[in-house]
Parts: sequence; structure tokens; C-alpha cells
Amino acid sequence: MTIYPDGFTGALMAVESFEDGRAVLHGPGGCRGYHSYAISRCYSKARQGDYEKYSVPYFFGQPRVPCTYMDEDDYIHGSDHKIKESLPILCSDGDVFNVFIRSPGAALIGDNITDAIERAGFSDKAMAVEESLISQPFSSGYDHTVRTILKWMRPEKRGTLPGTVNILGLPISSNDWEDALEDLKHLLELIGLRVLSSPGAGCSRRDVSESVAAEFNVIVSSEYCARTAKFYEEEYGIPAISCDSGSPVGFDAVEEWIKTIASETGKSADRAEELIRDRRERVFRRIKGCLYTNKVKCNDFVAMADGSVLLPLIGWLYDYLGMIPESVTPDPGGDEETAVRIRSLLRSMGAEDAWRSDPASRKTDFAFADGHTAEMLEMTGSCFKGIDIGYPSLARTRFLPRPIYGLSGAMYLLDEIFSKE
Amino acid sequence: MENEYDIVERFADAVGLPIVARIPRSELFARAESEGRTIAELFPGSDAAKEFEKVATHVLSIKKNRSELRESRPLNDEQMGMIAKGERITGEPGADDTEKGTCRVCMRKPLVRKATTENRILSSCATAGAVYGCLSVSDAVTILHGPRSCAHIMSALKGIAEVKRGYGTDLQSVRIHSTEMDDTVSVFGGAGTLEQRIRDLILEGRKNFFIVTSCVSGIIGDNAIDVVNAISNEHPEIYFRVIEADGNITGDMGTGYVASADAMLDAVDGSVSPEDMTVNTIAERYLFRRGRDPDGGTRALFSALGIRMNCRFMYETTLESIKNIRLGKMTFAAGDDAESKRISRLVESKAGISVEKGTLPVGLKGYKAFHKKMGEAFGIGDVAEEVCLRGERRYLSEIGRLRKRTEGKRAIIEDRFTADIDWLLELLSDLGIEVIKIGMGPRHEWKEHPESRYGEMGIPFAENYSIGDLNSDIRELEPDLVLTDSGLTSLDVRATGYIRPDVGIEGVLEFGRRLANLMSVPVIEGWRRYA
Repeated sequence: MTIYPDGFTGALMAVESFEDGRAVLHGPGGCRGYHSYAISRCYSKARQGDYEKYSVPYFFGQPRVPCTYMDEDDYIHGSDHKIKESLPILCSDGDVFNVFIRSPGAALIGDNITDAIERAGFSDKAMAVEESLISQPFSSGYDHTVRTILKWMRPEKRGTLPGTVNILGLPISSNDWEDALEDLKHLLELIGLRVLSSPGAGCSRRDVSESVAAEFNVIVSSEYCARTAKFYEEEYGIPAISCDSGSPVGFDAVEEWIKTIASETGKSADRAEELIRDRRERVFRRIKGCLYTNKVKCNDFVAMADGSVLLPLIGWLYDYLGMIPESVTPDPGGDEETAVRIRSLLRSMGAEDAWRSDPASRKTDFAFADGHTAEMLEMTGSCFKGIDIGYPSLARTRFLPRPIYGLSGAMYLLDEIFSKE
Repeated sequence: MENEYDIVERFADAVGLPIVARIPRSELFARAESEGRTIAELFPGSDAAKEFEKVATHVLSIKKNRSELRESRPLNDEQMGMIAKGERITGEPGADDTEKGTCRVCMRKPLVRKATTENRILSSCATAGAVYGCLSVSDAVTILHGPRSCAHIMSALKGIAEVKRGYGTDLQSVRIHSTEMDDTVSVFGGAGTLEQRIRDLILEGRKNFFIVTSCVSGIIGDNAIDVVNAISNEHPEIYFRVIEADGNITGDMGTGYVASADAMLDAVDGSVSPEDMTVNTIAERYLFRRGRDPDGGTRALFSALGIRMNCRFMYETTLESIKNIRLGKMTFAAGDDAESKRISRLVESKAGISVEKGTLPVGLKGYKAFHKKMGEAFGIGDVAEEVCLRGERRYLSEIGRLRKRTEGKRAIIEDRFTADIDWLLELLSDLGIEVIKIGMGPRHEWKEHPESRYGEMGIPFAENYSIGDLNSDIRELEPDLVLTDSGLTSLDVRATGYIRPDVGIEGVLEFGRRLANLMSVPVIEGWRRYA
């Protein structure tokens, strides 16, 4: 199974989730290549001429995740000089802001990056996440970093715009998050809400300054935004709306999500519900109309994802398609309450043994997991079909949207399930 | 210690600094320590306390009067060694390898502030190299003693290659385990987590272990060897090896890769004798090879001659196979890069077998030489000749077909990293493509100096070749084709990347087909017009 990343990777990913944010890796070059590749895969910002433009020290031709290339001497003597040397290069690139993230090794050294930035006079274009995040799960590192960046930006609140929201908790590590964002925005528009920003998902510095005018924050996956939501609430008085059924994954949870938001904001969910009903009817007609439709009822599955995704997914697959979980493992970082609810749900299905059982112990019909694990389980014969619902596989370049959130997410899941054989 | 004061005096004299106090050895230190107090607090009248008082007085004095401060004359490693041996130092203290304004006496080696330049950075680490090496042993687990992110990077990168190839059920990427070091290690060390991980895996029935340390364990100074030794004593039936790669502290990926070879070769049984019609291979790598059969060319090379492959060292093997590596009558390195050469030397010294001078062949010239050699070595000259002729006929026939599209074309080669491009030059020549320049990058590992090599072949070459140089040459020389090993293929000219192809002739022919196709397709594909 793929070894899941920790908060260090989450932090790098979170910085690069900002449209004009750049993660600067303070650490050895060995930590750079993979992250540069993975982040480009999740959120491509590629431009023609990048190689030429970034063929300078600290970038060496690669625009994503420049690195201080710490070496043995730096571990012993500190690397203040490299931070100092890199800042003018990093900070000369337009409106981009730079966020230094320490590698696990560099975190042990104790370079004072913030101090170096201040001394060099680049406090408006660079900052550092001073904490080591290797003890935190990927999602918590992501959340912590988004919040730290927001605190550094210190947007000024001038008032509240009624009928506006921010979307929180949509990580760029989620497959085709841009399509998910459009999908969720559309649903919110249908109930009369305008989205001001989406911190952690393609949001710019300018969007952040507008975000504090929002009336509400709406939460997609709580693991990635619990602290950020609290920050908005405490600093700007913006309440967060979360849904008891978890993330908007599958028709039922999408419906529950939008109805909860409509109820909390005093809007009507009728138009959104109409759209959801339309999609459900389309699915009914498609399944009934196809003579050779695969039979998925009673198929079993493995599910590995964030708890907020697992909860609605398992319930939907069981209730909507008659599928049964064989193994369910939440990614690190979920809250205890969600875990309890998942276990309770499994009990109600008679599948309590599925909780944290070995996903490869016997062959199942489906494996819903991060892209890489899903592909490996399929390749090694542990399942008939692996379905990517998390951190995307870096081995594939795909073009058709495959988000898991929203209505298009439900359609993607059905598409994958019904094309098993 | 005998004459210890003399040594300190010599040192003080050499660096030009006074001795402020002489603190004696005393059991009072231990007694004060056990009370959790200082000597000065608990034994104020003692000799030791008086000496500390002198230090305090001196500090106060220089604080008031900074003119009492003296400039030190730093020593280099050699001079420090002379003092330790009780010798008077020679030469000027502080020879040129140090920098003014930094602490000198507390460092093992002089401080050199390295600039971040492309020539000096390490873009990989020894831990990654050691892990990838160890993963080639299918009946062993590799424990990465480091943070989870570190193991994630390595398993993910290995897994990407496996998924892209889409083969196999026994995946190397799942052989990696992590001790999942977190922030607590900086306080408590990571030895406990390492021990627990090993014991858990033993309980799961795992038999052979490679433990690779990361930069985190290197920095905090975990003694992984002691941990593993203790467990090893309890389980003498299990093979344990620790590779103290320590991230990038000990070097780059190549360093770690070679270190893993060293650790594996400890398993070799020196009493085993060679068997006829059997060969070993060393360090086969198919990192970017497509398809489900990346090593098909290598296997076909030997199977066509009826020769069995014994140990495929560092590719996909078992500890048992490494133990019996001496069964192979001949041993071939797959490539002639620096790591392959170092591993070959290790195999020779630790397994006591000789590694053939040539590598596994790539291209027709090497293919013919290889078959001649195999025919002689195994007494199968007729078979080898027949196989070789068949291959040569196929090669020439295919080249003839491709040449219609390539003949008379002119190419620039941008060679930033690759040690051996002989196969490429041979192929281009066979295809009738003229090489008008070879630009060699600053990190190039030359097989021979380019002047003696390419100058003699009549090909102009340039050293420290940059992207700017390449763009300029494209404008001035107007080549039909640019071949690059840097992956830079977005130029406004027909360009393609290259890596050393599969062994034998098929890999070269496949690349030849790519070049021929490149001559026919549009220079700029449509999607690039929407930058």
C-alpha cells in the first residue's frame, strides 16, 4: 500500500493551492523533486518559457517548489546565508508570495527564517511556516498552513456582503478539484449564494482580502479546514456551516449538504434539489435502459479516504447501489466523532468487521482509495477495479474531469463503478 | 591523560589565545550533578569552583574592556591533528580554508560557505539511493528510519514506475516500511520507534531486513546499529544490515545506491563455485522503460544463446540468489555510469568474481562484439554467430527502411548527464544523420575528455553548454533535429529526449523509428499553440 504523506507534504501542497503562492522548500534537494512533480500534477501553473525563466539558482529550471538545497555544512553551521541569498531571487517574481516550509531534517536545525526575511526587508513578499509538521497528518498540515498564510495576509474587514460565502476544505490534492469547485459553486448559486473565495483551493491574495466580507463559510471536508474555519469565526465573526453527513460525496450527501446550507442561510434549496433530482432520473434511465448493465448489487468494496468522505460514500454505495463494505480505513487526521459515526454505520450494515481491516486480505469488487493505492490494488489482483477518490495517481495524465465532490463527483463514481468489466 | 596541559598550552599558543583557567577533574562534579546544582553553589570553596570564578571574572572583565579580546588564529584539520599527537604545528595557522568571523575551534572541519549553484547542489539523497537498491531484494523488507513523508516520496516514486508499466504482483514499492519519525524524536531519539518497527515486522514473519537511516536520524544521532545489533543477537537466523545513509549528509542517490550494494554483498557465500552456461548481471535499471516487459531485451539476449541468468544483482533478486552469486560464470554490468562501475568493483572485491570489461551491449557494434565474446567463453561459437547474424540482418534491414526519412539530416546533441552516447552516435551515423555539435552540460560525467573523443571523430563539441547556448546554436546552425537528455523538448525545432535504450539491437531500432517519425510529424504540435 502507498505510504500516505504527512503534514510536511500537506504544508507544501497548501501553499501551492494559492493561485499566487509559492512554496519554498528549506531543506535538501532530495525532498524537492517529488513534491514539485506532485504539486504540478494537482495544480498546474505551467507557462511557456518556464524553463528559461527559472533557470536561475534555487529554481534550476523548475518553477515549482524552489529549494535552498541544504547540505551537510548547513546542518552543522546553519543556512542563514542561503535564505538571505535566495530572497531577492524569489521575491523578484511579480506578485507571487513565497512561503518557506522546512523539510523534516531542516526543522531540527532551528534557522530563524522569519527573522531572516524581516532583516532582508521582504516581509510583504515572503513568510515562513515555522512549525515542523511531520507529526501532523497531511490534512492537518494543509489546514495549519492555509490558516498561517491567512494570518500573515491579515485581510482587513470593511463589512459583510449578504448572500456571500467562502468555500473551505477543498484540498488541491483531491482529484480534479477545479471541477469540484465549479460544481459546488453552481449548486450554491442555485440557492442564491455567491462564492467570494476558496482558501486552500485556487484562491489568490486578492480573493483572501475579499473573503472576510463573506456572510458564511461552507465546509467541504472538515479535516482540511477546521482551524481555518475557526480563524475566520474568531477573527472576523464569519460562522462556518458544516454538514452532519460529511462531505458532498454521492447524491444523498450532496443534497444534504446544499439543503443544510440553504437552511442555515435562509435560502430556498428548490432549484438545487431540482437539479439533483434530474441527475438521479438520468441515472435511473441509463441503468434501466441498458440491457447489459453490470450488476453491482451485493458487490463488495474497500474504502480508504478521509473520514468526511468515507461517511457519505459508504452510506451512498450501500443505500443507492446495494454494495457492501469489506474494508474501511480512514486516512490519518479525522476527528473521533466522524470515526464513531462510520463505525456505527458499518454496524447498521452488519459490516462492523470492515473497520480498519486489511484492504488486501481478499479480492473485492472495488477499491475506493487514493489513485496510486487504487491502481496498485487492482494491479496486484486485490480488487477487480480500483477507483481514484483521493490523492491522485501521479502515473496518469487524464483529461476528462474526475472529481469526487458534487454532482459531477457522483456521476464520476457511477461511471467508474458501472464500467467495472 | 598524560601531558594534557601541555597539549592545551600548545593549542593555546598556536591559536594565540590565553588559558583563562584550569578546571581540575573532581568527583565534586558528579555530586553536584546528582543534587541538581552547580559546583559553585554546592562547593563554593573548592578548587574547581575557584577556577570557574576565574572564568566568570574574565568574562566580566572583557565585557567592560573589549580591548582585552584577542583575535584567534584558526587551525586547519592537519594542524589540529599535529597538536593532538603532541607535535608542534608547522605552517601558518589558519591556512586559507577558513573564513573570517566564525567560530573555528569547535568544528571538525573548516567552514566553507557554499553558494547554491547548479554544480554543487545535491538534487537527490543517499537515503533514496539506498532504499531503491534494497528494494530490489524481494525476500527482504526495507525500513526507512525517518519521517513518513520521506517513505511516502520513495514508495510513491517507485510505485509510479510500476503502475506505468502495469506489471507484476510482487511490487517493490510495497517492500518499504517507515518508522514514521515525528517531532518527539528530537527529544527522545528515534531508537525506540525503530526497535518497535523491527519487532513488529519480525512478528509478522519477515526474515531479512535492511534498515536505511534518513537525515533526521543522522542529525539527531540515532545509533541504529546498536538497536539492530541487539535484536540481531536475539534472532541470529535473520539477516540484518544497517545502511547509515543519513539523507543527503553522506551524499547523493548514487552514494546510497552503492552503499546498499555493499550491504547486500555481505551475504555472498564464498565457497560457491561457478556453473557453466550461467551469467550474472549488475545494476540493471529500466527507470523510464515503457511496457510490461522492460527487461525483455536483456533476457532475450541470454536466452537466445541458451544461457541462464543467475543473480540479477540490484535489479530483482533474492538474498539467496545474492548468496549464490558466485554460481555465475560471467558477470556483466548493465551500464558504465559511475555507480555501475563502483558496484562492479565492490562485487569483485566482496564476491571474489571478476566483472566483464564491457557492459551489456547497446547497438550493433556492441551486439556483435558481445556475441563473439560469448561464443568463445562458453564454447558456443556457432550458435552465437548464427544469432548475431540474424540480429544484424534485422538491424540493417530496418535501418535501411528508416534511412529514407533521416538521411542527410543534421543534428545537435545536448548531452548534460549521460556518460555513454556511443550507441547514439553509431545510430545517427547508420541513419545518415550528421552530428553538427555536441553540447556538454556542467554535470557531465565524461567517459573520456570530449576533446580526445569527439574532436577526433570530427564533431565540434562545447563544454558547460547552457540552454542559452543551445538556443543560439539552433538559430545559427539551423539543425533539423535536437537530441537532449535534459528532457527539454519544448523548443521550436524538432527535438526529442533520449536515454540509454534497451540492450541488444531492438532498443536502438525503437529509438531509430522515433527519430524517423520525428522527421515526418509537425515541428510544433497543435496543443503547444495555446500556451
